[in-house]
Amino acid sequence: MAAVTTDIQNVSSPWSGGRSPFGNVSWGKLMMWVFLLSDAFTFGSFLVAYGFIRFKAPDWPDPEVVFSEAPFLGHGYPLVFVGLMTFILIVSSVTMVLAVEAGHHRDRKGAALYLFYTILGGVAFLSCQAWEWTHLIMGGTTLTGNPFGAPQFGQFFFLITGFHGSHVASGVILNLIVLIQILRGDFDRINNYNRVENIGLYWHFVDLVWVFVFTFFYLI
Amino acid sequence: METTTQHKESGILRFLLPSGHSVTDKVWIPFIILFIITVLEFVVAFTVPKSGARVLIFVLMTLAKAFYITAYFMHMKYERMSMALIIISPILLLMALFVALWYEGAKLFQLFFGG
Repeated sequence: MAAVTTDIQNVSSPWSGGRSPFGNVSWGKLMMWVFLLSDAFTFGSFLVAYGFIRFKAPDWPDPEVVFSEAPFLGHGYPLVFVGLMTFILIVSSVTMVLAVEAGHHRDRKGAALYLFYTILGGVAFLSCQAWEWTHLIMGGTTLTGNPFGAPQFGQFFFLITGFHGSHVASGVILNLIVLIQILRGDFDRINNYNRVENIGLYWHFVDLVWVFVFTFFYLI
Repeated sequence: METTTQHKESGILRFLLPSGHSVTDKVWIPFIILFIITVLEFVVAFTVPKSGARVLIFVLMTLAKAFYITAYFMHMKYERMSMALIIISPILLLMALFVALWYEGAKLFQLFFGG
């Protein structure tokens, strides 16, 4: 009997107890992941509802008709503008990874510079979205109807891109706070840049959600 | 997932699933792949006629992009397996709900509008 107990104690599973099953991951990072999981469920339920209504509607607007305009180009350029928005967000994700990388190497200037580029990307994305919303609203797309087809299109479009846009906006604000803390030297004083990594996870999640919004609203 | 043994992959796998810790492996290769997939999405959007197969292609491309963002940009590939599992397994349930309700919506469409 004693031998059996010893065997169980020696099992080197992460879940065998006595220590964190997640290794030496910081609490901030773990909690950020748990928050992102709950946020994924929020976005997921919006998209599930959207899919349900969309495939039930007989006259869902064709995205290539609705989103056929781009600033300075005019009509007849479907998906060009949203392609630009997608590209901006992916590039800002890349600069965020570089900021986190710089933080790992305790490179204060590098982290600050790349985080600044990320903020610029976020602001550029929000500006693009402001143009697109203005353009759609001027074109008659509202919460109750639109000239293209099923009235629910406007509701879901504004709900989901708006919720995503508010995530980008809060991401920009959080990035600004972290940028100020980097510049003040806070993370050099405590000798870790974990907060840059945590805010980076949030930023990548915003990019991840956009990948899905882009596919389900603009491509399909 | 935290392997200390560095084994060199060769050829296409080295490019598609880099596992090193260099900036090239963790940032630039995933970025190039994400960029190529996005360009391919536009190519499909302009050339392939609307159909169920087209939707499937788009969904698969989206999942591929989601994989690269999560695994490399969000560093999940380099985390402990136990942490990756508690985050990713609930997402699988969400995807099941997704498939179920889209299918349900299409069935209701048939019920209401025939076809």
